[in-house]
Amino acid sequence: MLIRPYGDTRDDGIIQFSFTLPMPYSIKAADVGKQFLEKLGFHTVGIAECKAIDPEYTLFVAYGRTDTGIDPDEVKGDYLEVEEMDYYAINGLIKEKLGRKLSVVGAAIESDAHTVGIDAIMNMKGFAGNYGLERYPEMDALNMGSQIPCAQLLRTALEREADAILVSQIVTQKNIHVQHLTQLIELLEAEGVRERFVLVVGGPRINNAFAKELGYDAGFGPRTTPLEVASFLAQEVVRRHEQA
Amino acid sequence: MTCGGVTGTTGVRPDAATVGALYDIIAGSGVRSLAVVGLVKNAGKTTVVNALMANCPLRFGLTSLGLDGERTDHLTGLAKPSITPPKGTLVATTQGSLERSRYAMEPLEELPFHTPLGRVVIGEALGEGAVEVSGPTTLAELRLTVERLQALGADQVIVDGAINRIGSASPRVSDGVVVATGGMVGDTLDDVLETTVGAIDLLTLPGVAPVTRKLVGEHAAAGARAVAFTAGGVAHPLELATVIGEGVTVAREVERLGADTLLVGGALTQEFVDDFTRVLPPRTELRVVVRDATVLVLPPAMVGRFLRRGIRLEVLTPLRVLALTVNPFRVPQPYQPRVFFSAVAEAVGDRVPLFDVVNGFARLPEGSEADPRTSVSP
Repeated sequence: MLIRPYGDTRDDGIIQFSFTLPMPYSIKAADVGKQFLEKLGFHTVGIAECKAIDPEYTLFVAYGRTDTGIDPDEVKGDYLEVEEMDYYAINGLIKEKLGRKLSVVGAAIESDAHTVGIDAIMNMKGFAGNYGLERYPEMDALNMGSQIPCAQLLRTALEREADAILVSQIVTQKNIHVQHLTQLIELLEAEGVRERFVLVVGGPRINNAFAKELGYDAGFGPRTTPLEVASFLAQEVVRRHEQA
Repeated sequence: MTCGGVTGTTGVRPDAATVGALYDIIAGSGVRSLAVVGLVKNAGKTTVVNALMANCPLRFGLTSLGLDGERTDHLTGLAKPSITPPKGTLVATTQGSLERSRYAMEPLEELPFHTPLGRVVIGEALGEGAVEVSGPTTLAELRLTVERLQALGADQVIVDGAINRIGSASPRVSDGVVVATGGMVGDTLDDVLETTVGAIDLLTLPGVAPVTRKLVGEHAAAGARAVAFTAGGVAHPLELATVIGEGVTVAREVERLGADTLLVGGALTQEFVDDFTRVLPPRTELRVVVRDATVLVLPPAMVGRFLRRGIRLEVLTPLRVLALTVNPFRVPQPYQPRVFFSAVAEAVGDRVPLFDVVNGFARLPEGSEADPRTSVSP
């Protein structure tokens, strides 16, 4: 079924906008903002706020209406479908089926200095009411931190005989971080050890289809909880263990 | 040659004569598994793949190391060409992608490979509509997928690449390579040319002489990580689990032994080359042998550092780079096609045939027959 944005009433298609144009504020600024939104296909546009935030820039807050709808059922999954387990079930699965601790190494690689993502998933205190992987008694989790060269991450994973490598990456506009993500994969393949590891990538601009494109086994986007990652790791490592 | 097919929804129509000239090179090479690798996203890989399938009278098999044929690029938001394989084309893709192309493909068999988008499925294209192609995740699985496509009757398997990865060009996967470069490779024309020339330098590194192959081949096949060879062909295996991070150790061993040849069985990284060339005494006569060019996980400039130190870098299995395709596209403004093509042609030189399959330019190495309609001189 097609749905539209809910503004004041259901299906009225009204959206609120906030944007900045690189022009000095003047008497005609409101019309510029209005016509811009009309060019985008919105109608019944109202400019609620229009003011200078700098001599060269004008900020707009506006409303506009769209006739476009979307059917959520037609949007096909770029999401990893993992059967989410609880903390105790995950530890139990590893203990029973793997018979040893699940070893995982995580890092933000190369020039990426953002630790917030990898910390949320790995650090003991966790995130969103979930414990991080370090808290799991059946996991041997090492968070290497940020700016870890791919080569160092690989060496550590080999030394610890890790089952899984977690990479956290802010993918930037210039896309240099994409090159780091593919570089890690090329390195693992060149070393002939790609099959040894479950490779997981996470970050604000990552989704599961993009993880596939990059050469990873799973991708997690914004709002991912440690439970989702831990559920996937336990199930995937156990699956591979049983297949071997 | 059957001609005339439209590729994609972005309105790009390949020039049939130019595609024909590219096809002749591929057909004449005897290559049955062709990797198309891009130096960057939006280098024009998919356009080349579409053009070949639409214009050449073969039963193609198609798979991808990445994800192709989705409507817009996840990262750049740019519209991507859709993939429209002719009827009968065998396509190895994932369940997730198959679902999005269900009216254009008839599933034939399922392969036992897991990907983030589900299992890998081989289907037969119905010749009506676009498909999304995303194959297996690892190179080992990719090799098996290629074999399966051939067994099911594909005359020519095309492996579309992923982003900027060159892994699918590995002789483990494919026996020939088409490299795609374009305006998106760098911020300026100079950047584009430097990166393109560097990549071609790297991908066309020379193979070892038969005598060296005899010396190192067995050790490489056995999976040795690092072996130094001294005069008379005496092998000294280094006790290392990997050479990654061990540039200093390896250089000291080479110096201590007075080795003239070093086999590196895995990856060669920038960090290794940095450490190795820093520690190794100047004017060391050394030949470094690696498996093939895809194990060089480093900027092409690092190869130059070896050469300047008098170290020769050679590969056990050279890649067969059949062609370089050139795409003037960039954001926000494309390059003028003829100017761009000529600039790349001049920079790359005579080493590899060059094609712009959309604008109809080709430059074949000296002595080969070119279709006069499509040939331009830079």
